[in-house]
Amino acid sequence: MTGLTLALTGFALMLGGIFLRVPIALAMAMTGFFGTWYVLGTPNAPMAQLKSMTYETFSNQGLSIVPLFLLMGQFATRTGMSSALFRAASDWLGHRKGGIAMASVGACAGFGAICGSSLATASTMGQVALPEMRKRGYSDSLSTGVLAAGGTLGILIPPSVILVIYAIMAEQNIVKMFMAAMVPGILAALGYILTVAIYVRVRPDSATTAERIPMKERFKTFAATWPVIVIFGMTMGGIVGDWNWVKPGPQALFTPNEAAAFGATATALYGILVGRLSLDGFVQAIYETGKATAMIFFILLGAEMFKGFLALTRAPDMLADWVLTAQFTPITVLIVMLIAYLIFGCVMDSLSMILLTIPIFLPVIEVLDFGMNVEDTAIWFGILALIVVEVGLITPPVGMNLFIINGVAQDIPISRTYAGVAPFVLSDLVRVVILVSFPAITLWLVGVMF
Amino acid sequence: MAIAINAERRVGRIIETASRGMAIGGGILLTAMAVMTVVSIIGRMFTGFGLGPVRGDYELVANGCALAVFSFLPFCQLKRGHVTVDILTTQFSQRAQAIIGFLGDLLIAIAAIVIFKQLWHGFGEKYPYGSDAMRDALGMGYKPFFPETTYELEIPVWIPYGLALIGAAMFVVAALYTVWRSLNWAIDGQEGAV
Amino acid sequence: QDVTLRCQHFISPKGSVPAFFITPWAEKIEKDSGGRIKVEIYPAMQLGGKPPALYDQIRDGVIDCGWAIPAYTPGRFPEAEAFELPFMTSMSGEASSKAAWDYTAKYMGERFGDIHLMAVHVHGPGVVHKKGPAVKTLADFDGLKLRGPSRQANKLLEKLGATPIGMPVPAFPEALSKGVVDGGVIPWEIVPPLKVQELADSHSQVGGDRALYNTYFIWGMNKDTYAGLPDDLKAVIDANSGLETSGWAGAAMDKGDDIGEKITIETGNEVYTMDDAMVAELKVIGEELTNAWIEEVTSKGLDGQAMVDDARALVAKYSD
Ligand code: NA
Ligand code: NA
Repeated sequence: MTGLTLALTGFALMLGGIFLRVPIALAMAMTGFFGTWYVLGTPNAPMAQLKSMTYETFSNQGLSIVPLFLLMGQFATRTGMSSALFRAASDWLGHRKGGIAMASVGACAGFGAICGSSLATASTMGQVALPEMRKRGYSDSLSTGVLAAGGTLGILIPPSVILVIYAIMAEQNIVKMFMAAMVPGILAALGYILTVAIYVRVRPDSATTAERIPMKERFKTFAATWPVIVIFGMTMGGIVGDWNWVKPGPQALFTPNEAAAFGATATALYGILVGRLSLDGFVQAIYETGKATAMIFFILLGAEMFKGFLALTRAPDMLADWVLTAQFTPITVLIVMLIAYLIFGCVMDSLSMILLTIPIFLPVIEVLDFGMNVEDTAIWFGILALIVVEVGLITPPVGMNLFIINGVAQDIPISRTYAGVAPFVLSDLVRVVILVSFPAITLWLVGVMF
Repeated sequence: MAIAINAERRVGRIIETASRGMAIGGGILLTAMAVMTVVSIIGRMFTGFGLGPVRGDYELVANGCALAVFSFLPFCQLKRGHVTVDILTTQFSQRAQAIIGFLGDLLIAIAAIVIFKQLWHGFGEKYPYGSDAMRDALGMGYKPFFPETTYELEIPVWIPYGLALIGAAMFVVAALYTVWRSLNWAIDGQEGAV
Repeated sequence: QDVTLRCQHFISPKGSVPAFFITPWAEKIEKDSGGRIKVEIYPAMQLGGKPPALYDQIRDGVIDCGWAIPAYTPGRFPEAEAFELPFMTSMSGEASSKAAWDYTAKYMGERFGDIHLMAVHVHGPGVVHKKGPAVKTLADFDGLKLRGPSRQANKLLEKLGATPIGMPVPAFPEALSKGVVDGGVIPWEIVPPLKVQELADSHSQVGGDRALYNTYFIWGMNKDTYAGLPDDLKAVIDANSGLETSGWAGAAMDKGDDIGEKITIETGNEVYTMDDAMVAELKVIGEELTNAWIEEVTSKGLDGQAMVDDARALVAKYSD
């Protein structure tokens, strides 16, 4: 068997297993294990690797940022920051037609600034905003659709767990990745708000208008979001900002890893000081962080085993060579990859997709000429990949955000959520086209900050 | 028809309590790492005033993270927290789904055993003590001449490996229990709630 | 071809040693064996695992050959640290690597007995890269936050009054660019890959004929893989192992250093060479650390004094 056939066979078997509900981490690990065994003719190598691989994967210094960002998001969830954000956003936007839906987007964006996970953002904001929209007579489709889409802002706006993992895999600077995500993230939020505006114009009966709130009241509720602003300002600003004007050059407070630790500590401290983080809340935060952390690191372990097998087959190199010699235009290759993500995104979760595909796609992308240097190409591709895998969270049939929002309102049939989210998927696609056409939008802030 | 259903539930409660306790331990460790990092940042900001970063902060966080992950694994498995794709299998009968779930838990249990066993060998290769006869009997493998330590604090690496073994062992126990649990679901013809 | 050797290392294929030693070595093996040995190189830990695991991967046959840093498993190979002591190695990576080979043959035969050692080497002299003006006196080290490269080098920085900040190498450029650290200590060859020349303003190297610190590397093969080769192929491997091959690996570092230094000078950054008075002061501190190390390894049952004396004599033999 040639390397390419072997890799394809392995991939096919793995997908077969995944569709038979084999946990994705295990499907990857088993493919890696048996594939390596097949190539080398003995299971000794993968067995010997496992003596240290589990511990070394779990103790990776770059990845220790992941559970800390998850912990920060969990603490934020339990300290009422989500309600303050929603209150402020709805005071400012509620009087417009569909204003509460727009406010939900704004609140999701704000929450995304302190939470690194889409699912946590969707479930937190879902619990706060969904009852409000239903109370005010918003249609089931719009209210669940906008929240499922808004949840993806949790990952699109930094900090973002998937960006951290991409940065490590692609050997890119995490801070640059975060900076690159900023403008596309804001565009995503604006795009969703615009989508709501169009939605309620096409379907006027899907939303209502709330009374106008006086300016004084608006500023008061806006001021109540200060913990979010301060914590985001200090975690993200602490990585990129200049905190000592006396000393020449930028003087950041900390590295991204330290920022996650700082964010978790600051959020918990705030929760304790205002009396909103109870012992029970703390314990629940740990359970949720623990489940997500174990799930992510188990997948990372599977990916590490899979990676070795894939390298042994030399398939990624062959694929890159083939793409070069076949002389496809770079943009065609990119579009094929993005479409592949969209298709897989209908049934798979984003982290697994990134871990499975980056070792294959990135070498190809890096040899193609998109008119910029390799680093910029890798950053730009990372942001595009992030956006399309996040679209997977809101595309039927398997979209985790859809399920989460549906879980908050179990009486709404999932088909209405599917219908409601469709315009937002469209807005995502429009954004992808814009970002593919103008890489400068993604790379601009990186250029300014570095 | 389920196999020792009352015993299964009793064991399940014990395992759930133990897994939750272990997860909380991991969470407290993680929180402690976060606080320690903040202390280190503050110390580093005031190096001019006789303060300094916490020695070995990076390696403490990395090792603390590993131990936290090990301690979260049993709870995650008990709650079926590992990502699966059930788009196809939801078309199957309840019993078929329960059987697939049983097979999934069985595979996780096998993986947990392999992970534990190899981690034990890894531990043995970091642990420089013990007679050859004892090491052979326990399957501890190659004996190092000198203990490997961490970079800055020079903590022997066999210590965190040893602590990780506790989590890995509990992962095996929890995974074996989930096999029993899902076998009973398969016999019942329907998966229960986790 | 009869045999495929799968070799793994932990950095980019563009690094000095992969580009100027590992790849040409593989090509030479293929040529010398008349194409009967094929060498596949897997950079950046593509076959899985983390860099500290490389030695065990070679020993266990996970890979056939590999490039490993014993210092990544601190404490496990204490003898190797002799070549990481302050002012032990010379300014020539090539000459110091040859000395390291002879030293290894004398003191580490048993320690590396579970693999087939093909070469050992060190890098060129370490350089202090920092934001702002260059370090010119001992007092300039006071209060500096510097990323340190190894256990021994960190001890040196601490004695000099700097605060060593522990962080993995990939995090260093980021931390430097954002002022989380004031600088760091690395050899010239790794400056361009990390783009340190764009982030730092000044670069201070020690004058004289001995390097500030060093790191000890090995290039090794799995024992069974080697034993399983027919005699004529064993001879091919043997002809590309040992003293000269170690010198070759060290020379790859020297070549990388020249390139890195040249690129840095072209940026217009300040490149300062510390004067004799400063080096003399540094050497006093280096001597204290060397004595402390001798004491430490003597307590482990090793003859620390003899090791240091021999290492010095060997470095002198090949360098001076
Ligand atoms: Na976020
Ligand atoms: Na989907």
